[in-house]
Amino acid sequence: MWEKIALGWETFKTALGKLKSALGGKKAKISRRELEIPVPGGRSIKYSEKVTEAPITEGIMTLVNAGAETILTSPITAEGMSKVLAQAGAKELEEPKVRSEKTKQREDTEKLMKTPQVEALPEKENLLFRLFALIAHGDESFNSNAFPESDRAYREAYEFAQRLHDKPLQAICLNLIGAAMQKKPEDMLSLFDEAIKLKPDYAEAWYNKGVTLRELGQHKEALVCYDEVIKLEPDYPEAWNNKGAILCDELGQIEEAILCFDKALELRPTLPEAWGSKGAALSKLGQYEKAIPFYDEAIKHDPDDALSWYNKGLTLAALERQEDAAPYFDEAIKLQPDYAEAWHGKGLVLVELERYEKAITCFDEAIKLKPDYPQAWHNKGVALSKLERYEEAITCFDEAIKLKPDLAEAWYSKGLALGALGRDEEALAYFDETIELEPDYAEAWNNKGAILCDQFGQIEEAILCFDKALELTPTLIEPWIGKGVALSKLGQVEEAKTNFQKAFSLREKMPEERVKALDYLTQLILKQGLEAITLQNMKGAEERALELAQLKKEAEKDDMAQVLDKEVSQFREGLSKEELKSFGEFDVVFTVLSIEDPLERWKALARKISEKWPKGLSAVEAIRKERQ
Amino acid sequence: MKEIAVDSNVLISAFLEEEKRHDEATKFIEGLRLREYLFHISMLVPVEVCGALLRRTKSLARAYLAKREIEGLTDEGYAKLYPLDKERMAKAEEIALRDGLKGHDAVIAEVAEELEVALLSFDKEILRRFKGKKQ
Repeated sequence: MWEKIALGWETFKTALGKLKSALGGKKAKISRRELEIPVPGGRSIKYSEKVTEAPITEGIMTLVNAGAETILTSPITAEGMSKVLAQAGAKELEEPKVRSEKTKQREDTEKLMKTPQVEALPEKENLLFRLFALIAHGDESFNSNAFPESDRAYREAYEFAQRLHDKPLQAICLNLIGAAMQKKPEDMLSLFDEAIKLKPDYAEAWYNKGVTLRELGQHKEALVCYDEVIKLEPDYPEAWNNKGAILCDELGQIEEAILCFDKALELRPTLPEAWGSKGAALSKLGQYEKAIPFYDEAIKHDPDDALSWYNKGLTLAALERQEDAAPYFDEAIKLQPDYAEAWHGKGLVLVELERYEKAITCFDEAIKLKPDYPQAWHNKGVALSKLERYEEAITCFDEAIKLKPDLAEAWYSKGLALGALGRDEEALAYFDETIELEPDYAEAWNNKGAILCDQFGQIEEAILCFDKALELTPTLIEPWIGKGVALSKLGQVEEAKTNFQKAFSLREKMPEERVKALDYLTQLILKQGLEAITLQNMKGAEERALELAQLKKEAEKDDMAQVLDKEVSQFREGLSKEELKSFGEFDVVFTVLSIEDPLERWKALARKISEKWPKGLSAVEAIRKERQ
Repeated sequence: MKEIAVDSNVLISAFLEEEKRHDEATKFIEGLRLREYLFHISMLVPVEVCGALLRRTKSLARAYLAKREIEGLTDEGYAKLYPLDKERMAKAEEIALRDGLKGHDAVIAEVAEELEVALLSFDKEILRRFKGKKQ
C-alpha cells in the first residue's frame, strides 16, 4: 500500500527548499515523492503538495532542523528520533532491560516523548513530534504484526492531529488506521471515507477505499476510486495496476487492462503486481507463452508473492506443461499454506498427470480451507470419475451444484458419471441442463448426441447435436466420431468415412480418440472392400484398397499402423468361411497396392501369383494352351 | 534404349517366381523402368496374360492386379500397345502363311516385323519358325 522510497540528502534539501518557499507564501508545487519519508518495513509517511500548505510543514522543518541529516539517513523511528535528539543535546535513553520488543518500542516512544528537549518544544512542534513518534511506533508495530498496538498508536496520533486542528494530518492518520485495520473492510471503508471528507484530494485514501471496495466485491465503485486517484496523481502505479486488475478480472476489458498495467510498469518497472497482472491478462487472452516472462518478472521482484507462483503454474498447465506447472503450485502453497486455489491448481495438474488419488488429496485440502469452493468439489468429482468411483463423484458434483447452481461443468460431469453408470435418461437430463445453462457447451451437445444415437436410436436428432457441437468447436474429435457412427447407422457410409477421416486428422487430440476414429474408418473401408470383391467389382476393391493403404500410411506417421493391422485382423476373425475367401482376395489387392515402388509392387504381385500358380506349369506352356 | 516386341509368355514369366526364366523376364521389366527398353506389344498380350492368370490361379484379384500393372506400363510410356486392325490382320496372315506360325503367334510377331524390331519370346517354337528379327 505504501511505498518505500529512499531519499538522498540532496533530494531532501531541494524538497526542503521548496517547503520553505511554500511557507513563504509562494505555494510551490512539491511532488509526492519528494515528500515521502521512509519508515521501516517498506512503509513511509507521505505528504502531498496540499499538505505543504498546512502548518504541519513547519513541524517537519523543525524536526529537520533539529537533526535533519540523521533523520534522512535513518528513517523516522523511535530510535532514529532519539538519535536526532541526542544530536540536539538530549541524554542517551536508558538501555532497556529484558522486555518484549513491542513493549520496548512503546516504552522507547513514551520516553522519547518525555525527554526535556521534546517537552521544551513549543506546543505545536511538541504535538507534531509526538504524532510522528506515534506513527512511527504504529508502523513498527504493524510491521511486526502487532496490529492492536499499531491501531492504538495510529488512533493516538489521530488525536494529536485533531488537537492540531490539521485536517490533512487527520486524514493521514485515519487513512493509516484504515490501512492497518485487519479483516474489517466495512470499518476500514468508513475511515477512508472520513479521510476523504477531511481531505477530498487525498489520493492515498481514495486508493485505500478502492482496495477495500474491491475486497467487498464492489468493483465498479472501486474503479471510480482508482480513477479518482489517477486524476489526482497520474503517476500512481498501484492505482493504474489495480484499475487494470478490475478491468481485466471483473469487467473483461482485457486490452484496456493491459494498457493500465503497461502504464503502471512505465511508472514503476519494479512493481511486481503489475508484472503479474499483465501476465494474467495475457493468459486470459490465451497468450500463455507471452505471459510467462511477466510472471517471471513478478516473481523476481517479489519472490514471496504466492499469486505469481500460482499464476505461472496455471499458465504452464494451460500450455499442457503439467510437470513444469506442479512445482509452481507447490511453491505457492509453501508460501501460503492456506491458499485454497493453489491446492486446487495442483489438484488439476495431478488430474492431467493421471495421479488421481493425489489430486483428490489436493482437492480435499482446498475444500478443507474453503468449503464453499464449488470448482474444488467439481474437480474432486472429476478425479473420482477417472477412478470410476462414480457414486462418490456424483456426491461431489451435487455439492458443487448446491454451492453454484449455474456451474455448467458440474451438471455436465454429473451427466457423464450417470451415463457411465448406465443411467442414460438421467444423464440426458443433465446434459440438457448443461446446455440450458451454457448453450455453447460443445461437449454437452456431443454427449447428448451420443446418448441419443447409441441408447435411444434417435439418429437424426443425434446428428443435429453433433453438428451443433462441431459448429461450436470444430476441433473437438468426439462429435466427428459420433456423427460418423450415426451416419453409418443410416447407411451413409461415404459421409460417415469423411467424418472419421476428419476425426483421425485431428493430430493434436488424444491418441485413444484417434485410435477410435481409425478403427471405425478401417472397419468401414474393409466392409466396402469385401462387398466390392463379393460383387466382383474390382475397380471398387482397388479404390478401397488404395484408400486403406493411404490410411495406413497416415497412421504410420503417428506410429499407429499396428492399430490398423489389429483392426484388420479383428475384422478377419469375425468373417464367415465364404467371406474369408473374398477377404483373402481383398487382402491381396490391399497388400500389393500398399507398395508404392512399381518394381517392388510387381515383385509382390509375382509372389502372390506364384502362391496360386499350378506347380510345374510353365509360362510358355500356359500361353500355348491359351492359344489352342 | 532398345525397342522390342514382347510375347505374353515373357510377362507371365515375370509374374512367376518359380519360372525358369523368371529372373531374365524380371530384368527386362527392370530395364523398362530404367528406359533401357521400350516394349511394343499387341493388344492380344494383356488379354492373354490376364486370361491365363485368372484361369490358372482362379484369383480375380491377381488377374486384375496384373492387368493393372501392364496398363501402368503403357500409361507411363514404358510400353506401347498395338490394336489388331484390318491392316495388321492382313500382315499377320502373311506371316502365318510365310513362316507357318499359329494365328496368335503370328499376331504377336507381326508387331515386331511391322516396327522392324526384335521379337522377345520364351517360346522356342515361335522363335524357330519366325523369320523376322529375334531378341
